[in-house]
Amino acid sequence: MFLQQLTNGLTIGVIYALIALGYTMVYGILKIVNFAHGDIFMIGSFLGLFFMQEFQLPLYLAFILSAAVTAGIGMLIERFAYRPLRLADRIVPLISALGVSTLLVSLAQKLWGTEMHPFPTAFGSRTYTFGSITFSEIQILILLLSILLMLGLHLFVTRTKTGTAMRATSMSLTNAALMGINTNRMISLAFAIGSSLAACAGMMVGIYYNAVYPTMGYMAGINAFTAAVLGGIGNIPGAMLGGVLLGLVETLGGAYISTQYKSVISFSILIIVLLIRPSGILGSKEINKV
Amino acid sequence: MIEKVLELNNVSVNFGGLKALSDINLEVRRGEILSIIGPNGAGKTTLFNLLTGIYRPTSGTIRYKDTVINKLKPYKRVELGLARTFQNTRLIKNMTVLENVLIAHAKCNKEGMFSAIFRSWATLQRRREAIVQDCVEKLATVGLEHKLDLLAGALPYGEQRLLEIARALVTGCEVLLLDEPAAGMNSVEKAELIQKIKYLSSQYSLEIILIEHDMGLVMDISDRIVVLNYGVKIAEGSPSQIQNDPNVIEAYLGGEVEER
Amino acid sequence: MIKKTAIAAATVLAIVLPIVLQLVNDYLLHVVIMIGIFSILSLSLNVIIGYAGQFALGHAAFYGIGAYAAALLMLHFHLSFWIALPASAAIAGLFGFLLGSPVIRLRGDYLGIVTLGFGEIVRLIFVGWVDLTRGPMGLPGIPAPSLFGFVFSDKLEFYYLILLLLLITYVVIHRLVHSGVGLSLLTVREDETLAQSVGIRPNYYKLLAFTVGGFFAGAAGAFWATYISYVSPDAFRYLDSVNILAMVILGGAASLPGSVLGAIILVVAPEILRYVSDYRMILLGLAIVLMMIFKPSGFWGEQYRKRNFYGNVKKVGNK
Repeated sequence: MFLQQLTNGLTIGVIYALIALGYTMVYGILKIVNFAHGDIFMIGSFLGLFFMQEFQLPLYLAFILSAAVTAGIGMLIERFAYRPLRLADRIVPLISALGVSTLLVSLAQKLWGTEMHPFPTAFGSRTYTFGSITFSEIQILILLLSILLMLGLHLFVTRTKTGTAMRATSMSLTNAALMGINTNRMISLAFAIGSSLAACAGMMVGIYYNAVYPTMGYMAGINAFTAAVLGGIGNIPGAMLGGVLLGLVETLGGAYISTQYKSVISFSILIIVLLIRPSGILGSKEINKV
Repeated sequence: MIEKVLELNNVSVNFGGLKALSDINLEVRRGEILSIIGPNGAGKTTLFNLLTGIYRPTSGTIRYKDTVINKLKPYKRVELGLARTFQNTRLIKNMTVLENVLIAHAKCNKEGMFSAIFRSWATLQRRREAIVQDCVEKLATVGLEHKLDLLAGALPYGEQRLLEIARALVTGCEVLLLDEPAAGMNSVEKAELIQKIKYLSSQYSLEIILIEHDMGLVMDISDRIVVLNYGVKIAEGSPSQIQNDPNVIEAYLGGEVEER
Repeated sequence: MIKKTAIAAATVLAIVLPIVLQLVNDYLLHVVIMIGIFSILSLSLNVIIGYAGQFALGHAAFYGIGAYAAALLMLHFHLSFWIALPASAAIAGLFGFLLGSPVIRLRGDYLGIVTLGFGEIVRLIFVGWVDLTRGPMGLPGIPAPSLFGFVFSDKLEFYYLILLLLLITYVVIHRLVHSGVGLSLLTVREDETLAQSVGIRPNYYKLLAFTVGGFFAGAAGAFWATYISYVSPDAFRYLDSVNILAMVILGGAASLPGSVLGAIILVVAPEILRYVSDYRMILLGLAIVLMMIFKPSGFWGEQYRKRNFYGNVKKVGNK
């Protein structure tokens, strides 16, 4: 039973990790929390649904297309709702993000209505059992795909020139610019990658829970943000770690304490982390220069 | 008996592995003007941040009139009588000159919530008028009394620095910390500043601690000088003693002992 | 001279207009009452966001706490509205204080998310604690206020009540933010380190803002409870918090007339644009983004404010 819950927790954990990566990458460079990121996750989910229903596309194609289109949407949002505000008071882009979030949710409601949509897939209820643990096909897909994506991101960020440039930009925007890095492009890239990962997560959630609805980004967003903070915001391995940890804690907590107040559990974690160690597990403490 | 208003004993400040200040022993005597000089990065502003409570000492004690103030928060130190200006002016650009000074006036920023809501209008206006007069008087000492309603952001740079001084004054402080007050001033403005500082020191019975790079100003105005380098005190004494100290000359690499 | 005439005209208008409106269409009077309620909500949030600079989402939670508190006090303890009102406001203010305490040391974005989460948790409690709140079914049958035996039954009476509450709220908040407290709040908002360096204690003022903001939002909630005579969790969702925030933003942060203006715009617009009600939230989202890009200080923004603290002092300097 415990191992089973562990597996379930891991599954939801890697999904949180994928979304959290979007938060952490944007925060790392721009030092703002993209409030609309949870809704980008939701849009990705709907797009996947859309591509499969309207165009009868196979699942893998839907993943790719949804990720690509969502990446584009993420870049558009950055270009028009955040970039003009880079020099303003800190609160201004936050409010703009709120506006974007409202916009995305209401657009989704207009286009697809407010009810829950089921996700059409060819995944039957086939399961594989190892000892006391049972994996459903979907879980295996989610785990494999997520790990693959995270590995890919890690390699990109550490082994490629562009990835290193991105890391440089997140360490210091001005210095990176002075080094000749096109920081605007790095920022767009961060948004693109973060959004496409969120889109994949969105589709996974849609399939896993067989439900897609316009306000699904809300709770998922808060949870993923909690994961990012837990692992250390701005820190890519941190987001992965935080996501998995949160998924585990939430699932175990839900199983052994109460399912109804699951969101309270993850929310409490957020508060505790922010109060005790705001830099998160892998994060580094900021020094305030006066 | 030399009366020590401020005393640092073996004070060190570490940031992670970086030793910003090591084993500093320092005192500020009643009524004196003390200058802290040293090359960039020597730890001068760190020292100010330490004195005002923005940084905590890693070891050692800071005494203000026989009270150890290591653990006091910045706003508490202001209440005790320590006030400062900033190296990079921290004014509220959207507020007027007068407002920028009002915020530092103890009677203004301590105005109570219930007082503000329930007191009779006449009483409030009377009290506020007195507070405003006090602020205007301090602004007059730096020559800004005719610019009360200008937005602080609209002032020329030199006047912004003067505004900071007025703001620190209005807290009713006894020890005034000025962080590079002459930065960006021309020689005429600097001469005026020297006069103003001397005037403030005597008129308000202040101790003034100055961080400055302009040696002419420092030599003219200081009763004593402390020299820092790499977070360590390398010399202390009267202006003529410092001018002839080989350690000091070496630290500046034969540099800038400007003639006024 | 002009000012006195304007005030006289406004007073007459305030007294006569509702009577006229009611003759035309009762519903119009309801809209005006809603403007009153949301003006109070907008003003209360402005103290937190505009003056203290705390990016607090989830303000609808205080509105809801006030409403439920009033409902429960009036239904279960049979308290009169005139006692339930200040009591509910105080309870909401207390929650403002409780929420504020852990949250004020957080930075902008984190604070937003945490307050958002708080708002959501409060709503979940409204829905989930069925024994107390009857969950989604809500609490019906809340009595109307009664004054010396006369029971409020007509919209007109509620209008005068909300007008009175709005006036009280406006005057109190106005006096508060134009005092030394207001200057301290603004200083904390602009530069906390500076605030500390001039003797201001940032945490005290942030908490004050949360408490005051919660208090008045709770008062609005109490009025809502008795006006509609029914409270349910539906009026206090995240979207309602965003709505109130939008009112503050459109009107102008740290601008009291701006808050009222924002309330007017966002209560009236959906009524006028009924035929595009589908697109209401889309337009709202768009409006927020566009405001931030082109007019972040709002339509009646801070640049028009009278000098805080000394705006009314007659003898300033040598003038």
